[in-house]
Amino acid sequence: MIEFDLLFFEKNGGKINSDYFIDMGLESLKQILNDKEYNVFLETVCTPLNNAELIKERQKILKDFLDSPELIDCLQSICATAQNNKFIVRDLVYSKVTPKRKLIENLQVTSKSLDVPNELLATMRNKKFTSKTLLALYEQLNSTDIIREIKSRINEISNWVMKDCVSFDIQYGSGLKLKTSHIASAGSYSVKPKTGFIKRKKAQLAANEFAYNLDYILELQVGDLIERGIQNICSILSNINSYIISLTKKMFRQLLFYSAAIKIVNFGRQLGCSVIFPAFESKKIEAKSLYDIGLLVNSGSLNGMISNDLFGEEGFYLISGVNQGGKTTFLKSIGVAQLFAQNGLPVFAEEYDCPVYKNLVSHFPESEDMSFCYGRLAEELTRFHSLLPLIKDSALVLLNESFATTTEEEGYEIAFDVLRALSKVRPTLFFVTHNFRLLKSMNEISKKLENNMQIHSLIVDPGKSSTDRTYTIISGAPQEAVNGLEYITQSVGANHLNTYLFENKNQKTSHKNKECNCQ
Amino acid sequence: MILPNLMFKRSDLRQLNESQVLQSTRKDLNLNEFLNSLKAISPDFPVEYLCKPCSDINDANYRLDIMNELFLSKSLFSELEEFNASLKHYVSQITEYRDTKNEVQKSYRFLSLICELSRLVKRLNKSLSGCSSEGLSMLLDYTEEIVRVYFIIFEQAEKLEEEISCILKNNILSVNPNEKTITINKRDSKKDAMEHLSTIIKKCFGIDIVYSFSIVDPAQISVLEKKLLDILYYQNEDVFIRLNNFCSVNAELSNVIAAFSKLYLQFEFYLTYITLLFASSRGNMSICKPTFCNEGFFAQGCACPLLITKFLENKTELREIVCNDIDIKNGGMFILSGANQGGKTIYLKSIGLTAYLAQCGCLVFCKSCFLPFYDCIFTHFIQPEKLGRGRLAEEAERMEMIINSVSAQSLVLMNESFTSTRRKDGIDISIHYMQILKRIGCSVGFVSHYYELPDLLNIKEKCVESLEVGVSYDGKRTYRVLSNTGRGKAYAKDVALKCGITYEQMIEEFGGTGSD
Repeated sequence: MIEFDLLFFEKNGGKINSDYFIDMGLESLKQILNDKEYNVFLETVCTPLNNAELIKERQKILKDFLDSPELIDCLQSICATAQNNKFIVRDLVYSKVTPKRKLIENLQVTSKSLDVPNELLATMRNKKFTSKTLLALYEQLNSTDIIREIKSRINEISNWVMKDCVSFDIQYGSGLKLKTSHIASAGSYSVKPKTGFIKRKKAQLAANEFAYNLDYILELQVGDLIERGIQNICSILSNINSYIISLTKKMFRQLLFYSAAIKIVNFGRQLGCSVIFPAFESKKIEAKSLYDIGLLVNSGSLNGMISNDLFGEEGFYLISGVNQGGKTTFLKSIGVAQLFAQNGLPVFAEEYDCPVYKNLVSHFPESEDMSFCYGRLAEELTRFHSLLPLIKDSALVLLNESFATTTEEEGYEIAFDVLRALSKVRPTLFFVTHNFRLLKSMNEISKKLENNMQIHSLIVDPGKSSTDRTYTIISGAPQEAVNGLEYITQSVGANHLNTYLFENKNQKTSHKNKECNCQ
Repeated sequence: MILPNLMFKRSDLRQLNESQVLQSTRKDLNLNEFLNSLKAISPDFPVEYLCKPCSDINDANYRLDIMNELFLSKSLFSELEEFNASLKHYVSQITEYRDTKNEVQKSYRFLSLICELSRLVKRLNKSLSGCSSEGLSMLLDYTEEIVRVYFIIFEQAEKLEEEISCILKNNILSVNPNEKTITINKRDSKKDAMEHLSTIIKKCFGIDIVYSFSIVDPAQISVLEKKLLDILYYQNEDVFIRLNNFCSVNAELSNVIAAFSKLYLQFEFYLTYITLLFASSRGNMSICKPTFCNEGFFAQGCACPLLITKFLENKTELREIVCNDIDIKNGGMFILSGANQGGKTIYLKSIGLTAYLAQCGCLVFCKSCFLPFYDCIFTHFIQPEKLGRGRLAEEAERMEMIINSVSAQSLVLMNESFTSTRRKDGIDISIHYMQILKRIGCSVGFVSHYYELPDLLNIKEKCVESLEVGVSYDGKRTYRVLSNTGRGKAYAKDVALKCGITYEQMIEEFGGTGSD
């Protein structure tokens, strides 16, 4: 039996929230993948694998395809061609064709489909596979005898019905009425075919025999019985054909994931970025020189791109620092790396190791439209609430400026509740936040967490001046001043704001001067 | 031997409540919607048994006992459910038998019916053993009697059927296109061509192919079938002659066969309704057997049957349905007022439908339920305006009609009556009619925005209960019906609490208890 699975989706496999792919900026992959590849890639990575062995098997399949670059193209081509082996249906003219003629047509189409396993086998011959899956597929395709026998049997049975010389096994239903039948064997032959009307006496017939050409209705009923037999063979042919078409369709689709993966790997290699297959030996995420793929695809070059390292502890991470300092990019780079890792894909880093999480969860700000019906805070809290079932089950949680749509104090209270509650289920949490009340109380909150969970602080390396951006994330105590106003006035070029600030300042000064003069 | 009727205690005294006013009651209580839901569960559900309530309390109790017994024993329910599916097939077999013209075929069908009757009666007898309700016990006795009386006939029939079934098995029909003949032979034990092909296709592709095809001919008996039957007849003449004799001798059984088939719709009534009850109890709705008493209508945790069917249809959680208590002393009255869309009408319909279903002999959707066996349930709901007639006049006419027929044992349910005039006048009219109904002594439920009515009616003595639908502090409807007392008003609401993001809520979501 030909049975294969190149992707190993698990029944109770991992999940990501519906926004995760977009939150991680992976829409940019459209620039290097075609539509079909992108869709299959998106669909596949949305259910990350939870079993390290299965992930490694995917890695091996990908490595096998990377070692034989022409193989995946050839397999895809055979599978694509096989999709053309379809029966003609719903054609007005064709519907008038006799059943026997249809059987001939269908036999030809099915014969082509039955050749497909052989073609796939020929393509895979003489390749050295490291993955068990590809080896097993090769072995299955290698059993060609049985397909030969199927072809021969079908031709034999078709031959009987084409000559009207066929025996039926008949089953009775209730009330002495015939119910079902199937073709059992060849019919009876007499040596010389007789032509014209055959007239015979009853005495010439055996006790278990009757002539069917003496009654027009009876002759029609016998013809109908044979016709139903032909239709049954056509239906069997259609089953076989559909099976092979769906098999190749499935293979083509699964191969699309690998062809997309190959394109992504080649893209990284062309940029000169190192790609690495994680080994899943670490209990925490460890990365050296980790890049954000979304950003790389958008820029198309490594120039000016900053990679980051992460060698920390288990627990919760609060990430803070100056605006536009690379916090979100860092968050995305971890999110993408983990998603890729758990899908058997390589990570764009010099080193990357991690545990296998059950679910990957992101909570990024939504556009204003989404909050129309709720109010912003209610919208983000409702969304966060919907993520709780995923979070409670060994998850990687990436929060980006969550609970910021209220006052700092109220945001702190909510975040405090969230952190306390999350410590109960111990996810790995990266939380980008500007809430200084929260950052300041980090150590006190840590004391109130369950399971000895600790909060660690990551910050954007401040650089030499307030407007300097290093885009490097390091361990460090949260900074009180992130100089946001200064940053936008000096770096962003906010003219109106500058003018306003300037006028405001002047006004204040003149007031002061007036006050001084009065005094 | 008379087959007991599961719907009426005495089959010769079938009485249903034929009151004319029932039509409007059924309409106002949306009974058709409720019946449609039952029809959706089983298209064969006999609606006639729910279109009119029993006029005899004994019939209602007789049905209630049967239904309660079936509801409480899931194994009995499942057995009878399977039994009734077979009985349905049996009913269609009877129709086929009646339409059959070919003699051999007719005899064989009669034989099959006797065999099926034997199997069904024995099966029913086994299922009903130990049943305590009057109806089912009577049916059990009936099945025992049938088995005892027809024991030998059943045995003979089964033996003969087995013989004929062997004749009909393993026949191979071979077509000889040259001689234009067909030969019938018995098949050998070897795998035939299609069986072999199917095996190797399964082995290679793992797919099951359907290699047999239907050859059912809609005719009573086709020419081909007739020819085949002729051959089989001559090959096994003695068997078919015995069949003919057997059918002639036992022709009297046709009456028993026909009578037994009538059980199908009666069982379908109970089984369909109980299927709805099971679906409701899976959603944690309470179900109980109502008890008829003269003191008044007292029910706890009563849910509206209409809401249940609607929620089940929409696959909404039944636990969202708010259940209320009912407390109407015999001859008692209540006026229910409160916020729009607060559940007033639903409450009134719950009362009406619960009373109606109980009188039809059905279990009700309450924790407990005691109620009088009302002689009639009257409803006075707002009707669409008829062209050329004033609404107030029409309302008054209807009220007059009700008063003509109402008695101290009746239940009257009024919904927003007399609102088609100025408020002051509406109140006056309402007071007058309420006082008339009070004098008659019937039980009355009145949903109205005239919240002054209880005070005005209770001036001399307290005769009317004042009820109100609940509204929470933020204006949200609670759908709870409460005694009319003052209520607090507060609108502050914590967004996080609403969204389920407090510490306690999240811990609960995570399925555990956290630290304080």
